[in-house]
Amino acid sequence: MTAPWTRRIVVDLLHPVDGSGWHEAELLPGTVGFRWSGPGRLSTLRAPAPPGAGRAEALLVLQPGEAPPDIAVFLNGRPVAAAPRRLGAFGVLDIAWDAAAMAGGTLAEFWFQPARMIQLPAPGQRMRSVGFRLSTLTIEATEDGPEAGSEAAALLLGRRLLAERLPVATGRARLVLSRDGAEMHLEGARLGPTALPRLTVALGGLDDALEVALAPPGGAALRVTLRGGGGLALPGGLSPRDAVLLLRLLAALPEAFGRGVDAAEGALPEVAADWRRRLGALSAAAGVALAVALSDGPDPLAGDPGLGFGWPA
Amino acid sequence: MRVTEVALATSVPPVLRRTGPGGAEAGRDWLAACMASWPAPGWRVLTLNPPEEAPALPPGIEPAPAAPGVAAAYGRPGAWIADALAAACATGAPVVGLVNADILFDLDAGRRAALLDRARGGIVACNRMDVLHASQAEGPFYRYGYDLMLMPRGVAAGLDLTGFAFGVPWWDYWILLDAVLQGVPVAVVQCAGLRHLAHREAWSEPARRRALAVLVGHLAPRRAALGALGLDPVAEAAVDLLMAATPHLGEAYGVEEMMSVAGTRFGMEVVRILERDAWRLA
Repeated sequence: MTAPWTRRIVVDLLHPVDGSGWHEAELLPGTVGFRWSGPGRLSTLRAPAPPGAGRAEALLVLQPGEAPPDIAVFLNGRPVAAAPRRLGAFGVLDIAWDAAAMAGGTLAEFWFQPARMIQLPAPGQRMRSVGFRLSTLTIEATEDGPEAGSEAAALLLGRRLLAERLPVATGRARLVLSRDGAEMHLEGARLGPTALPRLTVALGGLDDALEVALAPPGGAALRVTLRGGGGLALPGGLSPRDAVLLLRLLAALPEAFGRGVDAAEGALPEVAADWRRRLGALSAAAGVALAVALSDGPDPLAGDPGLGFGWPA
Repeated sequence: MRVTEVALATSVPPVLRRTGPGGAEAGRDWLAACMASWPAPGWRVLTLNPPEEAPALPPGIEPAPAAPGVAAAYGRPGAWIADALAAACATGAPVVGLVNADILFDLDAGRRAALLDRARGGIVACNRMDVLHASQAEGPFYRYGYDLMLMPRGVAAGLDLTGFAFGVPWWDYWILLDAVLQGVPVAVVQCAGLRHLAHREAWSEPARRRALAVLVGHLAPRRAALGALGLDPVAEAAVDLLMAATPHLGEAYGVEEMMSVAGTRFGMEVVRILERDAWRLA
């Protein structure tokens, strides 16, 4: 047979699955079938696969406007590359691995761990915990693929702890941009156990410094400064946990800003690009500070996990 | 003169309505682009239409008369699948096929050669890639339909497609099921060069049920042979339900709903069986 052909193995979640952590099959109009993952955070799926390197496409059913979910994927016990993208009304998780991940075998066991679980009612029934909606998993052989990772346990536990003990969300972003400053109005943000229905993130400062003020309606602002040399200054008086939460939120701001730009009409492209660049620098600095804090700082998990974020008086 | 290697049959509608970007009507341009995309050296294309349709055709698309009866059976004019495949066979091409009229080909010579090569040994059944506008190069594939089929002329001649029409579901499933039951290889193919401007389902539920009844009529004498395909128990039960319910369509409460659900469940199983031999064409 001629070269452009690639054999595909299709796992359709409408049918019985070899695995665990899936709710019952559902069918949308237009013959789009899927299963919600859940009720647990980890879902497994076993399927035949070529013995060498390979790739897979996990087709995800999304709501209109919903971003593809953050899902960690493991193959035969090892973390593997998984990149989300949008494809029409669907999301796709592009998964890839090298030959070592299959170890010469022909049965692939995938684990899926979404970052976020939510409570939704089953059709006409009780509430249930769900993660993401998987329609199909399609597997193909490739000549080569990225090396699979290790330390699956650390990744699984770390993601669980982040999701359960140090959750952060930016929510929906609306932007007001000018050359002198920018405001991001976040709806549905979260800092740990504290939900923030509205949070204003004001951006300002000269070229060599970025000043960020985060404030709920009528509340005092948390002020963060990024100096030209890369130094990040957080407000004083934060507990170790709250400092980690704030750093996680700062690191996520560029992605929220990008969504805000996508939704904004008439945004000045060069102004938006400049603020996005500066937020990128802030995110990178927050990422470094977060790494230092998690590695060598005080235990951010100590203390009462139900205690709200310590907003300044 | 170049020999015809592939003869494709379709039924071009006189008017195609599709929604493009911004809600603009895009059907006429899309249909024109589809028709322009089908012919190629060695590929001959026929369209069967009843006299009342008479679509405007570009050079390279050959008109052929459609036998009457589709409007009476399904509520709107069109062409019988069996007649279309017979017309393709009559060209003498070694490979013949069917294509739905709203499928745009982006098939270069390499892709056409690969399809032809594989279709010499069995049926090639292609899913369509749904797009929202003509220049979209990537979109999701629709796995529950086969909008382009290619097969050896001898295989086509051995299929009984009586009662199926273009524009109504199930004919593609029956072709492939019939072939599998005869031991003909069937390859399910996804290729980004087969594009479809996404739209809401155009067929009516009564027409869908009537076509399903036609499929059940073809399937009933071969019921025992289905066992060899390894249907799951629920699909086996769905087949039996369909066979029991079809003769009573329209006679008793719940029959139509049962047929719809059982038909959908059976169709899902057919797709699962066919995807045991699934391929991607680059």
